[in-house]
Amino acid sequence: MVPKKAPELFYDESRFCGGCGHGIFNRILAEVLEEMDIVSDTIICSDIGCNHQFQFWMNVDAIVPPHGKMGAAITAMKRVRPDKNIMTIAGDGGAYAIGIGETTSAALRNENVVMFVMNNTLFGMTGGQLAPTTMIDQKVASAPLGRTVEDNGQNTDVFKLMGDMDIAYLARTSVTSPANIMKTKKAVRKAIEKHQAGKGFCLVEVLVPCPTNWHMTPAKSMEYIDEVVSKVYELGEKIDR
Amino acid sequence: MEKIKLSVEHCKGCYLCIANCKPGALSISKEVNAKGYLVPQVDQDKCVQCGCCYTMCPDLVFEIF
Ligand SMILES: Cc1ncc(C[n+]2csc(CCOP(=O)(O)OP(=O)(O)O)c2C)c(N)n1
Ligand code: SF4
Ligand code: SF4
Ligand code: SF4
Repeated sequence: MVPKKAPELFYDESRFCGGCGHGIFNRILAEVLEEMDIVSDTIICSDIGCNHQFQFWMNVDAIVPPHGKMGAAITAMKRVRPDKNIMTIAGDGGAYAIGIGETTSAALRNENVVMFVMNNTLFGMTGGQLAPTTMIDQKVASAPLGRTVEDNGQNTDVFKLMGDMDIAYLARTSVTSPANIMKTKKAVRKAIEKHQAGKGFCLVEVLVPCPTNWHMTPAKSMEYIDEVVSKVYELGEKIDR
Repeated sequence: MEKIKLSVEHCKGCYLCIANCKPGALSISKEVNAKGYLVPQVDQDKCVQCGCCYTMCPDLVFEIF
């Protein structure tokens, strides 16, 4: 059923820009935590970046490791507190650039943790610089003529990176429409249920807009995800064990 | 009958709600909130309570009765 009222765990307004996808994802996760009645049994590991501002409006237990080190931090958190649901809300910069070692190492060990990675194709907080997810030819602040393989290397597609790994769940969704938001919600719930069943490493990448650094209106940003970003980064479930 | 309530003080003027309201019940009003955004207004008669505005809004503006 479609909810009708904002989750109760929000205690303030968000600090995100208007039309930012992080706000939509925060609400989706809050709805799932409340529907599963696990708010007080959950610890969310933060990244650094716009994404980390979830803790300034959501009343949840949170831990903030250095930028990108979520893969290591959630491993430790789960080992110390196996009774808690352990997850992270990460940026694509954090998870796949500075934190790529920690992210892939946690996946290679098939740690029983959940990563929600917000893919907005760039570094949002610092002004829209190139991230591993910046697409070939996409123009960003630090690649004004567009990304090239020669100068910037190939872009990172987590389906290619982890598609053959022995992990529990790997999915990609978006937030461009009510239907896609419901799919994201289902994937979030599925990942948390696998986590509770001890299945292992779960990663859900969510394609989210950053209208500010994309220099687009929020509505146009959603079209851009549907027409361009999700053609490069395929939606769906890649691994489901 | 009041079908839906808008807490427009939270609004940041992204208009994703209007873009996703199929019956056309939402439009931009002439009211500016304290943040400086022109906020949406609802035509209660046209609203079918589908919840799409709630689902798209990043800023928790909507409550459906
Ligand atoms: C160790 C370290 N290096 C660099 C930074 C600067 N920094 C802050 S946020 C950020 C990247 C943010 O991008 P992303 O992870 O994609 O998150 P978003 O802001 O888009 O949500 C960087 C490089 C930092 N805070 N700490
Ligand atoms: S800069 Fe981009 S990612 Fe950061 S809050 Fe604004 S829209 Fe969201
Ligand atoms: S979606 Fe929410 S924040 Fe955006 S214009 Fe509508 S009410 Fe305002
Ligand atoms: S509930 Fe549906 S019909 Fe009513 S204002 Fe929202 S989007 Fe429009």
